[in-house]
Amino acid sequence: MKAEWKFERKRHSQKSRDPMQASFFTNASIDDDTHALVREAIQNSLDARVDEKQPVRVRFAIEEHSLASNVMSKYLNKEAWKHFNAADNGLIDPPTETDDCRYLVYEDFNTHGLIGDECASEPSPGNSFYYFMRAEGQSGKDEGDRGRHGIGKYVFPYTSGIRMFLAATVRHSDKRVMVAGQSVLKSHHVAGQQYTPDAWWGVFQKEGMDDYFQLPSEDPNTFSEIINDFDLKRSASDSGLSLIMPYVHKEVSGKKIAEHVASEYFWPILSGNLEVDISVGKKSWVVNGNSLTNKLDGLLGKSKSEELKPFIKLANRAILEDNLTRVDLSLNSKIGAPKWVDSYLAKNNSEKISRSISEAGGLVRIKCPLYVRKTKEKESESYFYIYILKDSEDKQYCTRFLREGIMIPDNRSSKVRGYISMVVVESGHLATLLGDSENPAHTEWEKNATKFKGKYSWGPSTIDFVRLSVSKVIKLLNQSDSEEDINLLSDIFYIDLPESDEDVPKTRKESKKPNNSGGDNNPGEPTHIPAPRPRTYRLNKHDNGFSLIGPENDFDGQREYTIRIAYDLVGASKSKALKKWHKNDFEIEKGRYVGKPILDNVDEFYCEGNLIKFSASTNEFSVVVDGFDPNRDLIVDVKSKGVLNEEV
Amino acid sequence: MKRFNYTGRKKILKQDIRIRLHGDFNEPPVVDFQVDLEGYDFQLDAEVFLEAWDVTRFMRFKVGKVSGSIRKNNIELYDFDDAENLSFNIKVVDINSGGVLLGIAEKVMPNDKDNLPDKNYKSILPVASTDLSSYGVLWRVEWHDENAVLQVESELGNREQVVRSNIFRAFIYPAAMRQILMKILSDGWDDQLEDPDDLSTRWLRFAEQLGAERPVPDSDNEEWLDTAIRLFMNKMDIREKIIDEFSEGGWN
Repeated sequence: MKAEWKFERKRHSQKSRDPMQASFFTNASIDDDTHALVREAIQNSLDARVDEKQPVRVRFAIEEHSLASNVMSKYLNKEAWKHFNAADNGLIDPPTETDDCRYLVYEDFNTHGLIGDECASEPSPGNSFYYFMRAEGQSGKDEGDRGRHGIGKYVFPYTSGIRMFLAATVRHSDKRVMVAGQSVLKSHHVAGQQYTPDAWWGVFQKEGMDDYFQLPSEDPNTFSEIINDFDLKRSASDSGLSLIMPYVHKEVSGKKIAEHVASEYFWPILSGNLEVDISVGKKSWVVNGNSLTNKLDGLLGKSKSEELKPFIKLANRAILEDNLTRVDLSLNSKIGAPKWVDSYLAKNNSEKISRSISEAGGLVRIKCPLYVRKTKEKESESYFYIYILKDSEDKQYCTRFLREGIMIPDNRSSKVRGYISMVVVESGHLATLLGDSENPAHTEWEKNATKFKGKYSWGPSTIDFVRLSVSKVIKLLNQSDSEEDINLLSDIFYIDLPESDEDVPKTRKESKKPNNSGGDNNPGEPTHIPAPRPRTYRLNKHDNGFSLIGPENDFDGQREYTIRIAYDLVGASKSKALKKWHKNDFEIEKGRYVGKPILDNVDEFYCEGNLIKFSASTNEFSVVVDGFDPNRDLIVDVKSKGVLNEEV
Repeated sequence: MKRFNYTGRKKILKQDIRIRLHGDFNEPPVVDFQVDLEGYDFQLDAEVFLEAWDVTRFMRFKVGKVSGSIRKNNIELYDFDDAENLSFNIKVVDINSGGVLLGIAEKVMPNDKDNLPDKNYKSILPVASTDLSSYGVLWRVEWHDENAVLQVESELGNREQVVRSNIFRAFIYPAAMRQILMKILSDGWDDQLEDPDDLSTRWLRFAEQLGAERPVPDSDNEEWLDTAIRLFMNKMDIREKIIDEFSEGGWN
């Protein structure tokens, strides 16, 4: 039986309807229609995986049929076009029968296809055919699957300018092939007759006088024809689902598809669970582990690539590194709502985490266990992982949340400076709880979601516990912050000090002179040497003391001199040694443990403890102090200034 | 400021020393040691010692008599849990003359297993998380030994997050730096700026590195202070960013 279109007349008793599913995908976390399509389509495919050892392969292709090719006329007759061009069908500027057809193909492989009783008109577990083709707002997905609202499938007709798709499926369960199509418009009028929003392309089983039941076509010729007409890559032995969205919106592009695939699904791709092919005409991209790691700029463009690279880097290392630092936290001893308290992140763990992420490039995986309890049931243990990578560029990043491979944008989590972080929730009780709390677009965890509210003990606390986990961990790392950190601001407050060669023997300097054979171009040779500051004194070492004498050239007026003296101390700076002088070291004015100063041509002499002050009117002055302990180093600090505030 | 060395003790340059860690800095340290003493003219019967130390721990190893090059591998520093703040002194000692110190190298940092220096070079402004409730403030500069330490209220959370925030960079860094420089100007400084262990030397060298000249002794140096802070903030390049942020309602 040949497939055909049937638009259902609206009976008096039926409501007029404007399908609203699209509104579920227009939120702040979904950039555009392509974004919603990529998220929902791949999520469905991952949920339908057959062989867990092989990746799910999906394919996006954008092609075009010219009007002259007559291909589209096989699938859209004149009667159908009356509906697609009806004034009140809700479509804005729809295509017409005389337009060329740009279409999008989405195919998945290593998946089950649309399985279950295709004749069923009631929901039953595992009947994906029913849920995809016959249900609205219902999902046959189990707890632990990624999707569950039954809304996601609407992204396919929504991508088409006439809200339509054709589906060709090869079922893994019974190897049957089926072909069907649908369109979802608003309630509309054609030739004065009102029609319901939903139309089928398929075969129809008559039921009573003017009723019928829609069924897919199992005609192998129709299957082959659709494969050939839309260049599908499926054979009758490849299980999975192929979808064709004709007259696809012009903003759907290969570049956008690649961008959203990379940013939403890099984790399953890098972990070998997903491979994506994208083609537009003769141009094609493969999004796999290699292209994400090595060709991201080419895939996304520089700007988008730079945003994603830190997370790709984190995911790559988290998935591939065997010797990753792993910290497993312990369950709170008391069964109840999970809480980020000091005892949960014990000091030894926080120190281990701090050590691991203290250096640029440091990565740690923290396993966070918790209890999940459905109301009136016994609690179960579950967990999630936090991955924290120290960023070398000190930028601010939002944490990315991944629930069973789907990115949950959750833009309510705060940015963290200096760390790239991901929270990964694998399948299990926690994933089920969080999945139940998600909105239909799976972009947020909502405490009042209908499938969540009242279903769990500590449900809202659990969402907060996961959502705030990274910032809480970083805050609790403070437990190990009690010591001074001498490296933290080393990129801001630092000095480049060359090593002093004071006390280095001349023989050492001569034996290892640097090779300055660079001739005139020797880069080590300064081009301009500033004139030295005029000296105002000369300080010389004696056997057991020192002498301070005037400079070689005379100076104008009078100068004041202040000398402070102390023995050096192990491990102390010169300034500190001066401050640590003690009267039992020596007392100059008493000549105690030191000789009395010998003076020549000095005025206003004064000394006390380790301090000497005097003035001089000529450069021919001298002050000699001897008698210090020859087994200790002596620090001598001299300051000089002109009496008339004439600074030199 | 001069240091007079009456005993003739010689300084051993760090470039003549190689200390290589076998593992990472967070592992119990085992090191290979080499010192090249050619050109120092030490007496050949003097003994060479390697001392490992951090804030609270110390170990000393005799590594051999003086020769052109001394090597000793697999020195196990079993008293240390890790090499995070580990440094070494190398001493050449005349043990026949009551232990006269003939040569010394101090504060030598080990290299990692790839022979690269520790990436964590030191800041002149250490940071500590502290309970500042008794001071009634959220940050302050604490002075101890030869250090100015930036203390941050621990309740603010992770100190790295706090001190690297834009607000902190824009408002607190210049205030803390001014406070430190003012104290140095008030207490006096070593005008030779040759002792890196000295607080004033480190900070005045830092100011010089930014492009400021040296402060003038016995002057109020107000203009110098303003210049140093201005140069620092120019380097931070954050003023316009903060103005933009706040013009978009950042105070709310």
